[in-house]
Amino acid sequence: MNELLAQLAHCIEFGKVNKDAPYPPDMKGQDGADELTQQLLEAGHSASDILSQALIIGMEKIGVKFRDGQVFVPQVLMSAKAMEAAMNHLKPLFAEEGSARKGTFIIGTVEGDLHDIGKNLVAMMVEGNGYEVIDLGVDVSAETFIAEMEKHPGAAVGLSALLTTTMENMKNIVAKIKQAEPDRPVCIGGAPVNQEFCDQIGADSYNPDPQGVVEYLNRLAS
Amino acid sequence: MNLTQYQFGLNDFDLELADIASLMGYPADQLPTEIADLMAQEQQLFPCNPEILGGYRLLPCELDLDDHTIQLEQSIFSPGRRNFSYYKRAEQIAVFACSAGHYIAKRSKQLMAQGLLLEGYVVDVMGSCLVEQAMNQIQHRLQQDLASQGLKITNRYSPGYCSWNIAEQRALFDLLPDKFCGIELTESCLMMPIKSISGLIGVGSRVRFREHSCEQCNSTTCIYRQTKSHT
Repeated sequence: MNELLAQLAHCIEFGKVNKDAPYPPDMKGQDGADELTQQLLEAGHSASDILSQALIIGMEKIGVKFRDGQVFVPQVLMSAKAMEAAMNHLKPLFAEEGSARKGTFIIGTVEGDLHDIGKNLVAMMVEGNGYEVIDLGVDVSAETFIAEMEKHPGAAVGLSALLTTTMENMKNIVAKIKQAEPDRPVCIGGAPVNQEFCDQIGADSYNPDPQGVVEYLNRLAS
Repeated sequence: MNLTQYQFGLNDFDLELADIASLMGYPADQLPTEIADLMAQEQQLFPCNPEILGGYRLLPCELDLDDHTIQLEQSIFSPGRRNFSYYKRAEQIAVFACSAGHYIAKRSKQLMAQGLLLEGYVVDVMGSCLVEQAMNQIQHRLQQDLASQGLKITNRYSPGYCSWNIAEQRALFDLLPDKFCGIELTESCLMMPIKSISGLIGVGSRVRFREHSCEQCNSTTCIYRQTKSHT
């Protein structure tokens, strides 16, 4: 792999945003995701190559480490921050290049629930893995999900809930989505949710961590 | 109503990096420097009076040893078999609630809305830490007050944890004055401000306090599981 691409993947994995960023301490003073992305573009790499050969690789590595309990939420958020620095350069180019993302993912925390940290983590990981993410925020009704689905016909949908009381809302939203579009892929997650509940309510996938969602979407995209 | 309430200022707490690290999952000495720096920056911005409020109401209880339920006035609680075992020798129950206030919740949301997810997360965890520390102090004072009467307390347990249905939060707040400590419940029993806690503490001459009880619970996703300071 090109050395610069490898360096960028490393910056994403370890959350090195730019040259001025003090974190991680052992990369102090080195170029970060911001500078390296700029250098790669100047060297003639396409936005989609940078995405697939550096950003996705770095985000996948941090996602696997998080799943395996080797890193914690702040490190994933720092990786996401580095990824965002790179994406700021790439996003305007995606449209120009006509390069398609791997797919679109609509995500939200279900009606009645205001927790968003888990949902944000999933959104960042999915975006970093090459998908367009439509984040509907928290306290999202079935009607809002369905309205967004109509705008994005091929998109998968992700629902998050942190309370046992809002699992009931999750069940109702999945039922309404499936009534509107039986084949629309729906995945669920959140602390009180498990595979048994997923099977009960007719969702298509349950994942206990963000990397699981990415792998589910990759299977759909392949 | 036999109510006791406390108000805290930031100076009443010692937000240790080790506590924050622990809630985030890190070993005490391995918190990334960036997190420590963010925490220090945010602490500078905290208002002098962040309205950290907490308190409790002491009530006589009736325990049903067969059904594993606790009756407080007209409300009946089913805290789950395991939690009930800690309360089963209680003569009274302290119904408590405590909140880190609106500032923390608003600040965290504001940062996240700006796309500053890491900063928002750090403030969120600081809120968790503050509300737990406030409740630790209240619990400690309760313990000291009761000791002179020869009474002891159990650990505190809350609906939503250790298989205790979170919907019982509603019955719990029915026993407290409206908007006690500024806390309101949503339809889905979420406490607002979001960094609030509530629950029951058993009181009696034959109850006992356990140093750490998380190993008794089968939840694998609870943020307190990895912390050893939780009471």
